[in-house]
Amino acid sequence: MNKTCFLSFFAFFISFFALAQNSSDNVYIPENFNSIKKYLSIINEKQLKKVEGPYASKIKKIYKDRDVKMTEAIEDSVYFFNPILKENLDAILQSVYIASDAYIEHNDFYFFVKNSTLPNAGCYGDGSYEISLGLFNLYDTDDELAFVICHEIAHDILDHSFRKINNTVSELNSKETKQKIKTIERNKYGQTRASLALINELNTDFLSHSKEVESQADSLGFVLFQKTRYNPVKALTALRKLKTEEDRFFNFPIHLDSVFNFKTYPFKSFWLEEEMTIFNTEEKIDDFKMSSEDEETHPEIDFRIKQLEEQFTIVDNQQSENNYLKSISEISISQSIVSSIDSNLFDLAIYQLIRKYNLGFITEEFYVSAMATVLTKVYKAKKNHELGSYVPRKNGFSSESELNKIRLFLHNLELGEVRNIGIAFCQKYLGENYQNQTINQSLTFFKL
Amino acid sequence: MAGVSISIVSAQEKKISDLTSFKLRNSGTLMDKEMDVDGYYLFYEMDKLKKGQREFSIQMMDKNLNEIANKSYVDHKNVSLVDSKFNNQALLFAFSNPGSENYKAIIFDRNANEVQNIEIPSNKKEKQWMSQLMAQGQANMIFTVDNKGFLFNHVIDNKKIGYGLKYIPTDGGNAWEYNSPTDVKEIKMINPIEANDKVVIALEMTKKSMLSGSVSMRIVVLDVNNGKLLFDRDYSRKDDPRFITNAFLKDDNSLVLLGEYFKSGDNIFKDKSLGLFAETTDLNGNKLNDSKVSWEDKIGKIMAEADPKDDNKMSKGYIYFHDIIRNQDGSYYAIGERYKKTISAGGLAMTMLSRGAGNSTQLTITDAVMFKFDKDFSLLDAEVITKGKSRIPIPGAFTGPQLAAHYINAIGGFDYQFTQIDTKRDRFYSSFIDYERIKGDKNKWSFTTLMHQDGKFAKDKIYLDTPNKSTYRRVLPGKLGHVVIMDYDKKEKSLDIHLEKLNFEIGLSK
Repeated sequence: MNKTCFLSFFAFFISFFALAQNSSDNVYIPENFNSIKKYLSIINEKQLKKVEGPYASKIKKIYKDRDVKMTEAIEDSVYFFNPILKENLDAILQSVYIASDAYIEHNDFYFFVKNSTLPNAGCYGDGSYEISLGLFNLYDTDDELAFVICHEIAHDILDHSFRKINNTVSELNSKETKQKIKTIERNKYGQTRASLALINELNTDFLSHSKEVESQADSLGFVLFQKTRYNPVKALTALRKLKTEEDRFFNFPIHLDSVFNFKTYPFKSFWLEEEMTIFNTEEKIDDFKMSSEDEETHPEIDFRIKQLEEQFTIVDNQQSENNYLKSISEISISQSIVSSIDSNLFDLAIYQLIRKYNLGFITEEFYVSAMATVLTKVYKAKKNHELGSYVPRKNGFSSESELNKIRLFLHNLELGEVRNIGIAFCQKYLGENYQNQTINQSLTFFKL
Repeated sequence: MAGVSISIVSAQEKKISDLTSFKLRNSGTLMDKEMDVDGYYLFYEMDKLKKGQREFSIQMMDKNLNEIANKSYVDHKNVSLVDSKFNNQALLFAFSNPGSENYKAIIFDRNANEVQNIEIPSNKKEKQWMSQLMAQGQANMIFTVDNKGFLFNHVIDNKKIGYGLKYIPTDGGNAWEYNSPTDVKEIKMINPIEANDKVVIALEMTKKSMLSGSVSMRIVVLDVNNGKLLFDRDYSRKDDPRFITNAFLKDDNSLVLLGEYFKSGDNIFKDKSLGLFAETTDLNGNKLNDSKVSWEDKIGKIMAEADPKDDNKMSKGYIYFHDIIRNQDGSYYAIGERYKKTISAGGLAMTMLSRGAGNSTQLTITDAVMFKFDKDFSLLDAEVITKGKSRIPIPGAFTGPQLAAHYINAIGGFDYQFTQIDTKRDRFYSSFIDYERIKGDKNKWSFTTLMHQDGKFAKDKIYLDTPNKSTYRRVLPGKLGHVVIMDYDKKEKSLDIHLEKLNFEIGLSK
């Protein structure tokens, strides 16, 4: 990470963080909220007008009020609005639009940034899209992000969203499905098992189309991507990183016993003590499990990479750009943490803080301020008997091993122990070469 | 990276949804003898099958409310899941079908495989008796012998009413049965109260007839490996009436019995006790120690010191003991609630208006009390914990305050909920429901827990009234030191369930 660049954002982070603490709603509600509401209403109207066919009325019911639901999601702080991030994202978007101007009607396009640490992107099929903060944090180059944008635009061009809804509604209302339901209703015995089998069959059908659909979007997306100035091989890099992220996410080693070990208050091993469970199994035992539950909602990345390599000759032109993604990542790295704290997702916040601090993505001052804030909020949640509403309990069947450790730690702590950790943590960093209002405030809070 | 999914609801989905809706038959917690929750279960009716059968689903959650298993079970349509326990080796579910002449005990190992399916004979009358005993808190159907087996307690209809205690091993040991004699002319009931890898301690209660108000207690000590009677001790009304509330097995396998003692000839349910006792016996039946602490000499004095405003109220009221806890250092705490019989003004008016048909008397329940005893059961101290007054009407049949208190306890009328013992941290948690009358604010119901550690008490409180008027809150036992908070929003029709640790800040640093 370039030090000069980093320092230039240093003051921004601190002021941003302080601002976020006092009025965090500002980053979640856009300044032009009214015009966004109008935009959502307009694109929804356009979408409804496009719907036709035998199930038009049923499909229209699905789309009806989607603009209202999106507005509610914005008010619920699901999305993040930052002018600098938008400016940099728009720059990459413009490269894509200009390169494929003849193919993309982008006047109605809007990319919402979702407050989620999971790398993902999506297309609603009406011109609105989402990209998560996690996706910005995953990539290193503008090229990789540009490919994802092309992939999502391809979904739109191929009308995948509408087709999926249409296919689902058609299948559910088909003569065949109606007949199957009638047969089940006429059965005197075993109705539930027969219904579960039908649901399984329908789910399997819906999910099996996903793989083809993603591959189609990869292919058309690559065609659009090739028209840009970006390095074609970065399309494969973008997909590969998604795969490794699925394997690695939430499994960065955290070492809580050193993070929360202080001379004045040493770490206690029983804070990570596990309990005996009733069953010694590696996964939930379910005599009613449907085979469709094992199907992946994201088709295998290896399959998709192979498809692309077979369809296209992908040449590495040895170039790539990082003009805009760098700025985007710097904002999204801190915003991921801030939104986790604002949403009381304390386990996720602690995980990100430790990981990003250890990897040098955030400064010590940011780390210390944010962690002090988290500890204060954890104390308050415990005091009000609300921690369980925000932080799930450790789940033995989950592969999020490091996140599970944090959950176990937070739930094992006694209220007084949180206080003592808070005091020890703040005292450790007090007197460092930076002034930190948050540390002082937190220390005062814990000492009262 | 896919097209974002949108929720689809159609008439067909609703039809499918109706076909797959499940009825909840029973639910419960898997609780051990320290009142620690090991998990939870939900018993659903899933599907109608031929010949009056149903397919059921037993959904199990661990102590952290994570779903761990969903097992299919086929049985008669009228079956219910009566009780369930976990003994660290296996999980037992007890089923009862009113139309059949047995209970069924199904046992799962720790890989969730069904390993045993046992039928225990029990007719309709026997089952009714057992249900009543369980509802009144007088008997546990299943008692765990940790890491060894289960004890299955049931009623046997012989010449009078008797009992059967069936031991089901889970460690490869021998099964056995210990039943009441078939030729006695008294009603006998049994309740296992303690067990380890060597012995089972059970409390046998005897009375002459259904209507008899006189009960004798007898302690029965059995060899857990073969069911052989090692010794027993009678606490008959005539000679040595005692009301035994707790039993502990010490590391040296000596048995400590705790409870209240009475004057010879007194009725342990109707008469006032003389005080508390702790009796220690070895496993050959030899009495090693018998300590008594009387109301008159000792407890009254300590209470007056503990509560100076009391003004010798001890003479005007009683204490109902719910539990006696033994700490790791051998000391004890007895947990009780003060109560007295009072006249209800409203009830009296009703009685007069209805020409004697109403209830004019009530039990007024006030503060909680904690008595501390040393390891020799000498009374050291008493702590009075103030809480709001509760008033429960008493049916006319219960003329004596002690009997009325037993009745109130049986219907869950006391504020006391339960005590959990954390042997690892040498703590206990005692919970009460309290109705707080707050000056300058609305009165509130609260779930209040007292924790004891290192000789000190601390208190935590969860209000049952929430700021949101459409939300209904319940607080249920959770794993040690925790409670489950269930918030149901009637308006939103949403249910939020979360497990929360109870908070105590009494200098726990380092």
